[in-house]
Amino acid sequence: MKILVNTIDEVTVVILDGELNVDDSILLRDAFLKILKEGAKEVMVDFEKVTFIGSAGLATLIEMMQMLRKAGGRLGCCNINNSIRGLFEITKIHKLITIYENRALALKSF
Amino acid sequence: MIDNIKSMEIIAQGFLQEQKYDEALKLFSEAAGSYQDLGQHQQAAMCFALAAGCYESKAGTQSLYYYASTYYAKAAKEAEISGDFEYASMMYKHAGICYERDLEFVGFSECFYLSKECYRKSLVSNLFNRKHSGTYIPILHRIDLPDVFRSIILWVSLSFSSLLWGHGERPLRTVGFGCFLVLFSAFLYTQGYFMAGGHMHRPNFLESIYFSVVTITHIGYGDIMPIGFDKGVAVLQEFAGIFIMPLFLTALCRKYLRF
Repeated sequence: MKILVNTIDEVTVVILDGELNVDDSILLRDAFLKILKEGAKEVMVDFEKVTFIGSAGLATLIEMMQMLRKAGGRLGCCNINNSIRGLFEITKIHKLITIYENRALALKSF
Repeated sequence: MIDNIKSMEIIAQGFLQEQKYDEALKLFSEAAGSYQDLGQHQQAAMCFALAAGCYESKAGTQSLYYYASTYYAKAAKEAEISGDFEYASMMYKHAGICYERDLEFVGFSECFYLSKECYRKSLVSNLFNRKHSGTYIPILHRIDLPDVFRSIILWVSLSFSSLLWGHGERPLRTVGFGCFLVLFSAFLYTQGYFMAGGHMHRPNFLESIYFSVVTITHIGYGDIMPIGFDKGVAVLQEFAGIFIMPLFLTALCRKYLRF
């Protein structure tokens, strides 16, 4: 999995590319800890190029959301395809993390 | 082993998309068991939640909410073990909803109570516990005073609700709380004076218990009158009594009239 981090209008955008599995979740967690140490408060994860997300990936997202909230920030997700949206709804993660249709809408709301 | 679980999840998600819920839930619960063996409780919680979701999706046509609630409860338990109390609270809540749909009110009652308890723990965990972060977050960065106050007030009220009537699911706690109040007030009465039959005296413990029960139940025979300090205690006890009786009756009806 490739993880690209950008900052747009004080929002840190994490662009994921590939499958979010057990090993990739560790990479994502490390990248996120780095972002947090740098003082990021508003973080958005772009799922446009994510083809699969496993339970480890879902668990990492919840952990990220909690860490960010402890730091006084918030986490959003955007560009989620239907199958991943289905997983979010089944596991009820959509009630914890705000989901946006696309990046532009997400940046506008942040 | 991890590769095995990984492929199990990929296949299960495929089944889920094809709406083959039986096959999907079998694989998800198997994956959850494997994660449990590995001690990865958060992942196990997710897999149990996915299995519960499969049962819930199937339950549209059959009465399978009971099984869905069992899996939601398992997911909640795993999330609780991993220290993720907020997710645990949400899973218990959904377990409760599914139990209610299946008219399984004992399960609903237990899950409702556990959901509230986990939420209470999550408030403390959000304020103090940094176990999950594994990193240093600057303290000034963390503090958001209105949020901290809101969390503290919510925690205090939930703790009081838990102690007083177990969030409406433990009526015996109200009886226990009432008994404690009677005994504690009786002890305080022994520190002051009563007026009975035109004589002022320091009451013994038995007489104080009698007066305490008469006061908390609002009977008020008038054979004994508290004086000075005891008058203040009596007023506070009467005030508490106004709330304890209805709370006990509400909790009792709420719990037992469901059956």
